[in-house]
Amino acid sequence: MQSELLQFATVTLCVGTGTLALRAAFILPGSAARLPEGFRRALAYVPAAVFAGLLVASLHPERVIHPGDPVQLRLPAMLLATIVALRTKSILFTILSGMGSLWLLNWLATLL
Amino acid sequence: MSTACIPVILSRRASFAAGLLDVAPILLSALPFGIICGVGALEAGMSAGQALLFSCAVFAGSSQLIATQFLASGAPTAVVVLAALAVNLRFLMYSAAISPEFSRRSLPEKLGLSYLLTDQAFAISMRAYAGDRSGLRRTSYYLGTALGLFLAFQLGNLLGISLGSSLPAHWGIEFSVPLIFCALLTTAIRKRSMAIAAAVAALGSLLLCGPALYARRIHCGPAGDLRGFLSGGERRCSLSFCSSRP
Repeated sequence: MQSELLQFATVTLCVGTGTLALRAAFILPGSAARLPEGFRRALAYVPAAVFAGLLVASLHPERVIHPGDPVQLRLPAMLLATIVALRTKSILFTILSGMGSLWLLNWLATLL
Repeated sequence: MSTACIPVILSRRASFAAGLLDVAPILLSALPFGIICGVGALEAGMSAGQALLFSCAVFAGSSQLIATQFLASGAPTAVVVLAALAVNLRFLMYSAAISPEFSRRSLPEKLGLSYLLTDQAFAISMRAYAGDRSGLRRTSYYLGTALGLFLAFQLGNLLGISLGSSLPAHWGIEFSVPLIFCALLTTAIRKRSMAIAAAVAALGSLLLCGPALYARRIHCGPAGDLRGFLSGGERRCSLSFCSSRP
């Protein structure tokens, strides 16, 4: 319990201050500070690479292939959401289409 | 001399309202993202107070989601911190790009403006600054977008924290995690070379976590998967975000 509390405090403090430091790194010193062009170009690739890695890591069989489902409904829901994400580039529409189609398919499956 | 050539400078309040108005459609997506982060924090074993404190301290949805998943998988503290900060490296780029707009502000103001810097606030503000909207007071406009996002996200967090334990398992709320990463990925890819970088990262992640995920069926989040795979043994989550919900 105490070690969990210590871990929570450490993570909150480190991630909180670290994130603020990253955000403030160039705002605090003002316009005098400049990011090297090569580094700036490399940073532009960080979000795409990180999110792709995390997406793959988050695709647990239990999240996408649900053993409790009578038919595997999460795969078509994920595919539909991916198409919506590519078309709209919207978090809201992606969540709505993915969760909405999953719930709809689940409901339809109960009727069969 | 025509008055049409003289730019109309908006008041601070009008600029703030313009920012708020421009960010309004995005607030609809900040809310469910906040809800999922709140639920994720509870599922990682945090109390309601801790979850709220964590969200206010970090205020970065994707890194909060990553941190809570790693915490749930029982990852070491250093891994949790590094993983959460890695995804926030992009803020360096935003900070560098937007810093000239805030160069005349005082140190406390700069700190506050920095704390509120997010993907959406940055993108909307930079688009407005680059466009033909010379009458805007830039800091007020930014504050309108950033504060709107902050409030919507934290409201979502509060909802997630209050609803977290009462959400029925058959809703499959954990399915929203890959959905969010999918949406974030599509917004992050802006050119072909970024798609290649994403494909390489996905392949790397699959090579590292894939055997554990798909062959040995270890379900403990990225860190757990990797550790379980490296140690060669089956490992179950002690906390429930990734495995206990069906």
